[in-house]
Amino acid sequence: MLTADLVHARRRGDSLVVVSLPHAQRPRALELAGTALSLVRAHLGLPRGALLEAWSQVAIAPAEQRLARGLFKLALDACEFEEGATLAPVELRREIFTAAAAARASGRDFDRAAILAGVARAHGVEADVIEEALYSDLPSAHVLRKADLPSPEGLLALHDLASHQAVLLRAVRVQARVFCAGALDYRALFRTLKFHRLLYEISRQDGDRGYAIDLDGPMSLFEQTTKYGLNLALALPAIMACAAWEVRADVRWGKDRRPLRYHLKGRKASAPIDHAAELPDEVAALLADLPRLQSPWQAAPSEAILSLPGIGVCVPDLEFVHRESGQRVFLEVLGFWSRDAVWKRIEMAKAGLPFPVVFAVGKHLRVSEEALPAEASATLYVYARTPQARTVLERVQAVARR
Amino acid sequence: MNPASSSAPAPAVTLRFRAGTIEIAGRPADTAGLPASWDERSACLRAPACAYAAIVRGLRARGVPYSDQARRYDTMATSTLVHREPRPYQTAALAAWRANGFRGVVVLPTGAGKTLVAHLAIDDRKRSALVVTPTLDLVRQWHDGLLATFGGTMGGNIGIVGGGDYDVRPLTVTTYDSAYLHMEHLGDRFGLVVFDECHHLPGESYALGARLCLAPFRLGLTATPERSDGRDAILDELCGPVVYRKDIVELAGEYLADYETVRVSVDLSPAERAEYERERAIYRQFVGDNGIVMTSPRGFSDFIIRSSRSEAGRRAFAAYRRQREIAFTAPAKLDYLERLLFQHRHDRAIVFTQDNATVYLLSRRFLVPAITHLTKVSERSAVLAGFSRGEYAALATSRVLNEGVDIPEANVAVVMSGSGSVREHVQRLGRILRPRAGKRAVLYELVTGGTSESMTSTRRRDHVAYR
Repeated sequence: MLTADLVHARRRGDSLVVVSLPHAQRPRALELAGTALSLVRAHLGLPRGALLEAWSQVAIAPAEQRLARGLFKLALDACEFEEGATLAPVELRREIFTAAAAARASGRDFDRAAILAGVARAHGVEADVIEEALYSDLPSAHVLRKADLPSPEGLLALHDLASHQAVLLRAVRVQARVFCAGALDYRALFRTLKFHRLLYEISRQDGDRGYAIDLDGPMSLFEQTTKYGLNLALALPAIMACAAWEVRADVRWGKDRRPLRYHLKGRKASAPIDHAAELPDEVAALLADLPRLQSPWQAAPSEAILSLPGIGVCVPDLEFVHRESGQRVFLEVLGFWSRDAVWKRIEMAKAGLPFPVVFAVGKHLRVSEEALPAEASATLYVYARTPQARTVLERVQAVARR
Repeated sequence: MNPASSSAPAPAVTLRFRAGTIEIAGRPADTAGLPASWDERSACLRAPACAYAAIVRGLRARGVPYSDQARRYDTMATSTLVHREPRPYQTAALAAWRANGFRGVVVLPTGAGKTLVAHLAIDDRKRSALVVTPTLDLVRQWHDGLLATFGGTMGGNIGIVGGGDYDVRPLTVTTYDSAYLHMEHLGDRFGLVVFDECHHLPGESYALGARLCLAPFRLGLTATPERSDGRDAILDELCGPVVYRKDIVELAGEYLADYETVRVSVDLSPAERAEYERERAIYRQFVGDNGIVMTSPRGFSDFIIRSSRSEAGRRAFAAYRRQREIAFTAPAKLDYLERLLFQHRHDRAIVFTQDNATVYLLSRRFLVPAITHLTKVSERSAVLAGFSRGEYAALATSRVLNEGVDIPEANVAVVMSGSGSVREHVQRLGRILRPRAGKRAVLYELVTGGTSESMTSTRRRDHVAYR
């Protein structure tokens, strides 16, 4: 990811704009990307310090500095370094420094070379090996072992995405409109948003114009905070993978954290939608636990989106299918979500959901299971730490009977 | 319908903690003056959690009955296992804090026993308490101290949040970073929060952490509350005003080790001087040409930004670094340090520098252990233990040992280089002042004469401890 100082952005009135690379400068940008990638490849097996030193020698015009540093940073992000010394540096230091302290305490003249030579003899190596190993565990001495590098074109595309993500790192609120080709794509997007624990509200747009999503922070009433910026930034690739998308954000930019608006829109990006987006931890754990219990219900990640026009949208996490009858029951886990979100689900349940749903609600949200009447098409399950598989199955069975 | 319903009729007003805020459900008739705002999103009054005490006082003053479902902290029946007799100034500090409604900042020099003041406050309030510290080292130090004082009597153990641990107990220690991350979930669990080295608290993120916590009782501890950015003014809002203060000179000799400070000015050789002047001229020329005022709060960042935009700027930045390097690591300084290390070979000397590169330079040259932010915790602990036992008579460090870490054996400090910060300089002195029988501490400040370092030194010595 890029830091703010590596992003080429300009203020235009109350807006912040990431400056796109002019077409005429693309060949030079590709050249810089190629140089950065070549340099990294050439330093496989060598210390990080040598790679950084070599990069500092590359002739880069002042106007290109920011782009070049950004490209190099992203290339470095794709690298794996590890300690390369044969002698254990921590133990070696203890040995050398203890010997040096004893030598000094003896009152004789301090002879650095003699101390190192003594330690070297004990290890059966030359003194320069000891010198080299002394701080071989510092990051600058770490050896480049592996680099999973993109092509120069890929690095430029990564730079473009990382620039927008760097802006969202400073976001206090994000609104997105998305249109996807099918439910599966929406599902993948919503699951990603859930995974990143972003408090959000979804509303279906009139006609077939997709969904509007509000991503907000709980303290926003009093204080605009960028506390959730990282999660917002990580969610951007999922939004950009939609067939058509638009993002509007309130950001705090620059040293003075000036409030600015940020707008970005586009059509389907080159990256394919990852339908196997990860489940939130508690849901993944629950899904792993369920098969251990003997049950007529088969659980799997849900692909459904339950929408009640004018009331809201619910995106279940799991779908339970009865092995004999084929009946379907959904489960949505609201562990991190707000209490308002729970109330919205209660409203939806009272209005009549198309399928039975179990809403698993974290105890900290302080909602009573009695908030939903017994005859409703959904039920609330209040859990303490994590949803328990056995209880979930009991609730699934109970709500299926209604 | 209230989802948190109970069978008994509920009072008109209910307070709840939600994600670092206080919800006031059921709008009281008289809300004027309550530090809360109407939240359309959830149709209730809402306030940052730190306003909890003021809201409770406001409701009580209006005679409004309320159900308090916000606070989840415990009142503890037990008290200290170990009773240490506080010194008079520690007793006075606690009294001042009590008199200010159990909120406020206590300013005591390093080594004067701020920790005991916190232990007394925890014992006094007998509420679940959270101690927030700047580093994981201090988390461990506080954990061990609380365990020794309160034992297992308060919930079985002392909790830790941070550094991979998430164990919340009635007495818990955490870092400022972890407090920022977790307070929206933990902010209702503690009645007392102790901000150690509370001059860190006014930082934007850390301040948010303090606002997400409802603890009505708050104690700040520091040796130096003042900040160069002036944000120390918001300490009042976050944990209270300075309620008690003692400076080093008021305690030295009786409660702190007696000390002296020695400023040593060294010279550059003619060749070094010529190079210093040449590089400095390049740097100053660029700064002057671009109208950059380096002494202004934005001066240095302006310089960084502008120097990256041109070849001349890049040369100026290189010149800036080189002239600093010449001043910070002048050969005469290194020679003098060698003499000091020999002279104090039976003492415990901490050598302070401004940057990590110099730490490693000194460590390699003089074969003394180094501690920087890159040093792993296990090695750091081993070095400090070896230093305490006398296996090492000296260690080199940059800024990571400036504050907090307890090294009572240290009696010599050598400031090879540093910033112009008074706080940093006082903290470095504080490292060697923990009292021991017959101890006399000495702080050497090595300054390269005729360089900008002389002015920096004058700025950082602007404190009563150096007069």
